[in-house]
Amino acid sequence: MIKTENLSFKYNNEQESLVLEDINLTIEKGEFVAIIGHNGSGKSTLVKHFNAILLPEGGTVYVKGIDTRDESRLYDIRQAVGMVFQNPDNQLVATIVEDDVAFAPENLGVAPSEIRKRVDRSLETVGMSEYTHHAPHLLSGGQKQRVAIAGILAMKPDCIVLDEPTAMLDPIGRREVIQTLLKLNSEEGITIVLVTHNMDEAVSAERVVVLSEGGVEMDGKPREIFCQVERLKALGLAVPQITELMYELSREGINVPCDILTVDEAYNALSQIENYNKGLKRS
Amino acid sequence: MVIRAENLSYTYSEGGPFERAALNDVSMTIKDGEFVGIIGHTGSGKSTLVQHFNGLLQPVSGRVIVGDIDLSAKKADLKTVRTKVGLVFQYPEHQLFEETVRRDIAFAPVNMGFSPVEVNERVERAARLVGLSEEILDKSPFEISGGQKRRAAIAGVLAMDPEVLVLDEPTAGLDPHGRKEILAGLLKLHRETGITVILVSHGMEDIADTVQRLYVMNMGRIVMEGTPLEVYARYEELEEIGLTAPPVTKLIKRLYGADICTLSQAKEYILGVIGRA
Repeated sequence: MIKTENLSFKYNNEQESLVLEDINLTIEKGEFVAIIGHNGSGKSTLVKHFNAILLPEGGTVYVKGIDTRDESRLYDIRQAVGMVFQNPDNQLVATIVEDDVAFAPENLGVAPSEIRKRVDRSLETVGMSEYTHHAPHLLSGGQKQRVAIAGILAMKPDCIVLDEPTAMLDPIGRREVIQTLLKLNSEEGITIVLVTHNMDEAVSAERVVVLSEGGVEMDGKPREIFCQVERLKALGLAVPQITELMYELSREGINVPCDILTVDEAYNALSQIENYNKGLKRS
Repeated sequence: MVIRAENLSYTYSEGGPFERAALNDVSMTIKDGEFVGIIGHTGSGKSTLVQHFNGLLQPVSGRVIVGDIDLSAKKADLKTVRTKVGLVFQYPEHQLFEETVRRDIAFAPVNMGFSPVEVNERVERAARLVGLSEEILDKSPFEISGGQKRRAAIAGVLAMDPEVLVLDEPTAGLDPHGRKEILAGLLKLHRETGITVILVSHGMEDIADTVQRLYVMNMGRIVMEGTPLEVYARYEELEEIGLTAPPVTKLIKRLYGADICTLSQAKEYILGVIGRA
């Protein structure tokens, strides 16, 4: 789906160090990848290469096999990879929800009857059908982000890249957006690239890429990544609270697995230890 | 400086087509030197409430009393109140506008009419309180990191030397490191200066470690009040109104039926039950 080869980038020539340095990353079709890293690690700069908002300074980025530097294919690239940004108020352009969702297909020259179908279907997919005729500015943050996602779905993309889409949302809004993404990924097979600071969100991905100082520092399943508590902390990142608790307990000599991510898993592990202790006392 | 709300109600666009009740009969007392949290989901009325604390909004009914000034009185000296109660808005770094961080922090004291020497003293003190180095003071606000910008904006409010500091979602949009920096900075500030701090938040896990007392808002009303422990113990009710409790609170409740709200409390509790291997 997306492939970077020795990707390097800096914003201007006065900058001494590179913002991205020699990044080799392949995102397969249908994957759900979370990208984490502290502020300034290059996350946003990286994902802006995924639909040719930025072009590499060195190396190459391919989207569905197309070199993003090929200007004649720009529309194909942008149609294949849609982008959702952090601030829900900055990306809705129309005064009615359905007009906003129709914006991209209209510009792509899609036939009106087909636009109608796509708009209805996209709003249904993100669970916003009942707001079709509402004004976007009166929606909640989570609803606005779902409308923004619907606007991209209407282009029939292969991949959606989201740059901290939940940073400005409350817990309900966050949940709405993440559940929508999980559904798009599992039911529609859309590739999802999610940039986030929220480690509990990163856990819902199947793969986590950790960026630091413009390079890929770690890349693996959430379980493999988050059990490396010390390494993540050294990179200025947090781990899910439950994982941190398990790490602290294991440092105190309690025999718990370190790759625990959820309350349920921790509950099972600790109950087992308690039962085992009770068994010891009895015998 | 005590802040008191008495039966405070507020309605946006009163009488207009978009009329919306935002606060409904809110009464609360925040004591001098407290570190208080106000949590609630988007639209619960948190921001509307704190904008009453320095007279940016006037109650539709009820009263707000800051120190000995009744803000709803016709001749209330709002100018003084606004220097005593410093309000840091959401995304305050969007309001940085000067050429250097130093000049930005100096904006309020200059306008309050202090002499250049005093202004300088206030700027240095505010910068020190939020942990901004001398070197950063001479940079442009556009050259520094997100966490630094946020701290520069907070310093701009501290330079007024307020007795109460109100912060609306001061950690929103920051990475975990930046979040920790801001909260640790506020704790230190509170400890060193005895300033009253009011922290408005969506109520994620980091607030449990920080505040002494919590108010929970829903639909314009205060629905719970207590220590973080007392409030987070009622996590099922919190979830019903769109908030979450720290994951460790749920874990300990399910395992042992006990109430805790921070990671270190959870660790101690488990070690106490299981014992050391």
